Amino acid sequence: MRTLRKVALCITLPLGLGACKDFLTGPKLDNNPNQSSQATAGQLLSSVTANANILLNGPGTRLTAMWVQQMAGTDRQYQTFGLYQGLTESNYDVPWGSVYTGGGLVDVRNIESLVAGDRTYLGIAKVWEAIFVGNAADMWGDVPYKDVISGASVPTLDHQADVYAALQTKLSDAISDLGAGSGTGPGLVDLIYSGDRAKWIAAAHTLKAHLYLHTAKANAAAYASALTEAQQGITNASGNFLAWASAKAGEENLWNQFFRERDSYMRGGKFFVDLLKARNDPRLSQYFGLNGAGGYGGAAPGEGLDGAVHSWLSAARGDASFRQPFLTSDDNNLIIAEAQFRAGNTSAALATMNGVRSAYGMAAKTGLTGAALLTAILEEKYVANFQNVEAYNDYRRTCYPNITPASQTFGGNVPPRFYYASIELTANPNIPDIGSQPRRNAVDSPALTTAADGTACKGQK
Amino acid sequence: WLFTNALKTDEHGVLSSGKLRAAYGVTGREPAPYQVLSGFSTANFGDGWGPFLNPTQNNNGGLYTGGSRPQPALKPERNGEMELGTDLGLFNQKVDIGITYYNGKSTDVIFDLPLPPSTGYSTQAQNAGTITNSGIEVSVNFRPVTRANFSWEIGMMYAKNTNEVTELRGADFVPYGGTTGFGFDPVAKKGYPVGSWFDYDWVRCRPGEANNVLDDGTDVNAICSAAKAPAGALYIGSDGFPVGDNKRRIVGNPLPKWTGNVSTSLTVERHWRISALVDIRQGSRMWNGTLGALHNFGTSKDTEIRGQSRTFGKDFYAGPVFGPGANTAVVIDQGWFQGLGSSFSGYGAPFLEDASFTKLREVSVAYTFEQPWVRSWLGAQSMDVRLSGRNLLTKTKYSGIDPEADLAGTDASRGLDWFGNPLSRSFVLTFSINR
Repeated sequence: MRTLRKVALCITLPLGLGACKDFLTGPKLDNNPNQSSQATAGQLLSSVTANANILLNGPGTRLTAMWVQQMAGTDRQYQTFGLYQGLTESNYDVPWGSVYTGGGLVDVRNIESLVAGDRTYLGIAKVWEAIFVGNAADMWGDVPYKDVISGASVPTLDHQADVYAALQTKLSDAISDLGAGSGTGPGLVDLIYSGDRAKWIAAAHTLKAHLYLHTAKANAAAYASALTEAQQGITNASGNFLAWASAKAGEENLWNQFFRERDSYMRGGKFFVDLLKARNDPRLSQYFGLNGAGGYGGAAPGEGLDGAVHSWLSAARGDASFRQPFLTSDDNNLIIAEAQFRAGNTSAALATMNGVRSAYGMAAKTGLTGAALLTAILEEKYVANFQNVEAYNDYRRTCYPNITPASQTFGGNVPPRFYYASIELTANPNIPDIGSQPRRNAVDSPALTTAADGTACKGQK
Repeated sequence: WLFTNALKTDEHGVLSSGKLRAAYGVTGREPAPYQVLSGFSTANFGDGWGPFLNPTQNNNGGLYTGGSRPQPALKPERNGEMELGTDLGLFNQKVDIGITYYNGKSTDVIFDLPLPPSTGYSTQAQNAGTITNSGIEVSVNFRPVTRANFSWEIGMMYAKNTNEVTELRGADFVPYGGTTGFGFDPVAKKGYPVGSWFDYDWVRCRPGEANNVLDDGTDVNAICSAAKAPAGALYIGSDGFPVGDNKRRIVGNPLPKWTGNVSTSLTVERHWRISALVDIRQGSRMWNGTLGALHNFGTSKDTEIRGQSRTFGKDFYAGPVFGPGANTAVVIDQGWFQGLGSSFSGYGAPFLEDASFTKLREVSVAYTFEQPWVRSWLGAQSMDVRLSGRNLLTKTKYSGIDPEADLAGTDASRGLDWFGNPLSRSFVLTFSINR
């Protein structure tokens, strides 16, 4: 018996020890069966495209659309947001997370390293980087950029002007990468332009124009740079940068989804609807649907829902497969018009503006100069940039439209910026807390006393 | 250690038995698997309000970097607990008292620590915390009457537990216990019990706390000290209404200060048993989100004052007030009940209420049949018939439906009342046949 036991021990012990080694290492432990540890550039690009849609057409843009009164909040929290109340630091968590985490900058950088040899693909990834970080700099001002993603455990803030400058360089690099004409690029995985280099180059120029324009309040020389870029930008509607959308679940237009989830929360804004009516603009029926009384109407800030008066979006605009515009030829050409005006070239500005108007069957305006012309150009832009964050950027820069602030919560201001997100504040001591954040972003300072139309600006203090 | 044996006391005397207990133990808890590996996610991108987008678009499969950063250096958690106690028997075992004091410390507690999103990740598992749990449990049982055909026993129990996160490295707070989606989330934060609520309140005087600033830059604490208002006083804006705070703070926690119960049972003629149990919980708080929602819809009794004039601090939300609009009468209308007066507004702290209660948990009467007919008819030794009623009476200041109705069930996020059902009052008749 003892011998048997000894023999059994001698056989099983070494076997057991050998098996132990496999037990503690090996593919079963090194690979998570529930999660992939590798991704291709195409897979990442698809996520980036979807995530950017959340950033550009999601909760952040719903807020800015209310703040410029193109839309209005008519129930519950959105009614309060329209009055600038309830705007806590948690509101900005989703947009902030979209910029940096999964599907955002971290994956744009992953794409850039995966496609390092393919200049077309690389150029497109760099344009996406500028889209994400550009939006962050627009909304939050000073944002972490130089030491993000790469490993700093608590990134520091970079000055807004420096971030814009870095993005201008990034976009110039993108343009030369795309212009090199080498590499296959993403092809049809790119849902925006199907990998078309020329369209991406034009989009990059329009984006550069935007970023120059955003700095122009504090630096009037930027208008000339904006003009140069916009003239190489998206000049024709076939080059419009549209978010992807389809009727498939998980791809539907975000405004459409919001209406289905929370149908009483938002309607058209009274100021904007009334403006479209006064202009006799055909876009009134393109943007908005009929109200209960068979007409069109919008809600004033803080007004509760009244189905007989308030319009939601039109069937086309509110459809699940409506592809939300981000960069358009209308916006680009009006940048040209405004920059021509700023350079003193009144007749060219007027002609460019009338060119945009004529596409909608609106009669050409004549004999406009000075503040009247500037106001007219900005009015066209405000109408063209419906549901686009650019309308909010333009308001801060020019005080057009010269709306009355919906409440005094921000000291008589239309909210001038997003607070840093609570998810960043909790873990990053380099981000100042609410009491120490600047009241306005650096390029948005100082507050305008005179609006574009020459009257006192009501919403900037 | 049965110390009465050493003292050789009289077994039927005043101190009939006494025991001292001491114990110490250490346990460990291992981390979740695969924490060292990075992973790509396929989860939907949500916008926070319902709309979502799939990373897969137009049949192009989508993957993106998961929010959890790989953590190559994780140790198991350790929990060391020490317990001291004594069990005493008095007056020939007519009274027995048990007292236990315990003190436990969990070190290297693994949290999914929030990372700054600007690093590209949202969380990372880390041995980041230390949590202590200490408390005392006392139980006392009296047996005033123990005769052959009548006995009566009364028991009382008292328990008090103190929990604190004594150390948290690497983040200001960690979400703990799952998110409820209301922003009224339990967190682990240094210096507070686990599961404390981190939420938005109305602007109040908070001397000593930084970042008590309005959206227009006004320093609230400066106004408060100028007005000599006490800490916690409510700030009233120039329109006569309170103002919502833009910053989250620890506003309370659901844990009770102490819990206890009182039970009694009588046995009569060896066949009747009558018992009752009273449950007590004191010092716990509950978020009455249901009331806040009913405010929004105008269906709660509170909203009957619509259109009437009130003054904050005096006859509406009584308490100390300060600020430019203090002591001004205002009309309380739908705008109030759908704004700051609603739990949809995002300011949860004003709906916290004291949820202490005393409940008559159970009363029961039982009779045991041991007569010969039980054996002949049922073939059994005895039959017990028991009639009991549960949750018969509740005494509480809580204005909601039940201070024990909890949204999250057994989840760590407790103390949330959101249209839940109360515990039911029930009457149960039980027959048990014993062979």
